[in-house]
Amino acid sequence: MSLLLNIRHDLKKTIVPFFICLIFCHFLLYPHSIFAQQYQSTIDDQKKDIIAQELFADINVQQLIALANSKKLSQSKKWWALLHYKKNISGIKSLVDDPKFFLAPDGKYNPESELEATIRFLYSYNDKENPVCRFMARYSWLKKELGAVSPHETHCEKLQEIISFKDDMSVHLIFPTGYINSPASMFGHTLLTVQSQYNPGLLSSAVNYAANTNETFGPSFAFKGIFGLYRGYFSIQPYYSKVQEYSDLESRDIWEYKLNLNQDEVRMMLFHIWELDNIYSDYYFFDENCSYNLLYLLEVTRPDTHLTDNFFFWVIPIDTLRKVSNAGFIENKAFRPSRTTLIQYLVDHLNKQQINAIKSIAKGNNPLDVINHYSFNDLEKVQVLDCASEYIQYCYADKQYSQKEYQTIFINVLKLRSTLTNTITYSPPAPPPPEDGHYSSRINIQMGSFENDSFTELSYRPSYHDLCDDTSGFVSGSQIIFGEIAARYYWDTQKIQFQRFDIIDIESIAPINPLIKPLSWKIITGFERLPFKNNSELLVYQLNTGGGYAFSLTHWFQLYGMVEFSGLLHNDFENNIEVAPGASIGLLLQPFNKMRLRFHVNDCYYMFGESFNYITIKTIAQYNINQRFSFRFDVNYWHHEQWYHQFSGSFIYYFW
Amino acid sequence: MKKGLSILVLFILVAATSIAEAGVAKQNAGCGVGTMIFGDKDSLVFELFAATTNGCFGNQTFGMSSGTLGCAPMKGVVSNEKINLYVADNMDNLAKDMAKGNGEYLETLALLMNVSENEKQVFFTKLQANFNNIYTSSDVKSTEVVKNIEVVLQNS
Repeated sequence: MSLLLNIRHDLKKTIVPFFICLIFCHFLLYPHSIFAQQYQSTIDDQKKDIIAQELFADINVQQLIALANSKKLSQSKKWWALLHYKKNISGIKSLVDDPKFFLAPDGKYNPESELEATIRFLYSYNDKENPVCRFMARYSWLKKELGAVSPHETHCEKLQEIISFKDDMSVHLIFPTGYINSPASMFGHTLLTVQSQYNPGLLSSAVNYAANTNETFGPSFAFKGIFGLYRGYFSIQPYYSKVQEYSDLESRDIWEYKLNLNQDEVRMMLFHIWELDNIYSDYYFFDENCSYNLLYLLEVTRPDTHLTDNFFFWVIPIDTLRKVSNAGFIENKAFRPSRTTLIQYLVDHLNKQQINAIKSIAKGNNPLDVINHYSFNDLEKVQVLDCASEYIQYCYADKQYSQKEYQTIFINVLKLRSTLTNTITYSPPAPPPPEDGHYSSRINIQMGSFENDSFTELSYRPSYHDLCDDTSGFVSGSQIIFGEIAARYYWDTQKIQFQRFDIIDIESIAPINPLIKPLSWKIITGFERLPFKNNSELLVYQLNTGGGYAFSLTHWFQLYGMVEFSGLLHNDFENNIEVAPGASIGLLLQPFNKMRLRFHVNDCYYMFGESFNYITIKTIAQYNINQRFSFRFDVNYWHHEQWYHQFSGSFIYYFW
Repeated sequence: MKKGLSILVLFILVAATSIAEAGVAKQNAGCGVGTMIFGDKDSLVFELFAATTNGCFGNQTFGMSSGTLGCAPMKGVVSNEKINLYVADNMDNLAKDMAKGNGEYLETLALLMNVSENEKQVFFTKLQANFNNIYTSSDVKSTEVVKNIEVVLQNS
């Protein structure tokens, strides 16, 4: 029996912990033992093929080393890319942490001695393992640079296979967009696929870099991820299993970018993947993460592109995608809508009766009876059944059915569908591509007046996206802000004050449709200066969370409402703390392409110490000029026994 | 202020524990996926991949009882195994495409079965018309599906 998604994904909304700032990727369970086993067996295979020692008589290793030194190969970009060397203030260091990857005892820190050891290893007699098989990429480059063939080459079957593979291979960079309901994949992900005519499309091999963990305890997962206590490995799976994971289960649209690598470059990439088999690097959520390490597979093909350079502190998948795009790797792109995107598109084209029919079928009523109950023409029937089958799969992934229920309902719909021969190809239009979206860090210079005192505010947001920023490449209706910090200067009083530190500010405004009703939610925590009675501005620590629903009135106009909880900490409060239930409503508008508007009203009734009501009203209008620049106007009101107001205009610059 | 701090810590802990169920690890690969998908001797590059994905992670994905996802190493598998595995791993989406008479999963099946470009439409139509004979019940196994497809194609 297998009409079943056995991996059921938990769509439960999750809240993000305070200290986990930038988490990027998905984590796969990949037991070490698999690699260990594999590594062992590779060596065993090679033992059978015994190489004659005489073949090495003519090779002068010292001479090769001298040649390499005279050509300064150890300083070359290619060598540094192959060994993942990086220079920082403490010196040169390879980002690979597995000792197996190095031949020289100080190889991790010394490109020169590692090169020497590599040449010695590749061109010397060895009856234990085939050096060329172990370091194919290093060898194929050195062979060209030194003009020397190692006798091991012909004995390395794997290398021969790759070289003699005549079919055209192509590489795609895959970008599943962010998944806001999981902290680990909020920022999207990148992977590569390799395909040929034998395994095109869904059958292609997906090359993925991920941390090796089966940790389920959140805080320790976050801690270990941030401090590099996991090991990251490359793994390979059929692409369809990734499509199921991202598109079907997590409702993430996928972008597929065909790269313009030539066959030699693809081979170099394959060699390097082979070299990295069973080799780990310490995994860091912030920088040495899935997207970053994937860049090495491309960098070894074209070291001049410097793909892995110029990142500071964190690497966000969309930034790596943009880097690859700017370096001229991309030939063309395709959009693969997720199941929910497809359902949304289908629903937009259905009438009310059709929607009712779908709901009724999904409840388990006999599809034939349902269809006959309405007077649908053939085309309408096909639309109903096609949408119903997608919807039923969605509901199963959302755990609304038991496996048995799902199987029966699903197969009944398909049996009826197979009696109708009309075919419709559904292709939801592609949104603007991610690489055209804004850069993910931003600086904001704001001029305005608070209670008629004019000020200038400077703020810096390391990452990532605001509801009023241009939505290209980002999950629409999502806001993900980490670590935004702001300081303000008042011209009249000539004082500088610390204004705000948004540690986490995440909002998901996901409109419901007649079939799918996602929860909209938010969690905001950090320090903020708020006006209170007697004209005192208090720098409070706040936690504000909420949940509710959003509605799309048209595709450019959304309305949302949430029930909230708010907590404030400050010395001046009676018990140092105030807590409140509250509610908020808001509007999001995009009247035309580059213009985003937001109106938000929030009312909280604090009642832990002193009871008081607090109202916040925010209006934002932002004009997004391009990837780099935006203008923004804010009008804010606060009410605590009296009204306070603030008007401001900002200039925004996006970078990295 | 001390009290304030301790409450701050409480806030953090509440937020932190809730990540426990966040999307952490998901096991994806079925048992021996690589061996079979890429194990075809004609396609050497996939040998390369097969070696890296060869392993047993437990019967994970869709293959509840399909029998094709066994943990025993598959050496020199015939290409039929490739089809078996593909069908086992994509039962649901393939069934949907088959009932509709078009779609990417059906195209991929045609490719695995070496259906030529000009025979494809006939192939799709035939499978759609015989959907009931292929996906015979709600708990049909993927190996039966493959067998049924063969029967349908032979009987015509």
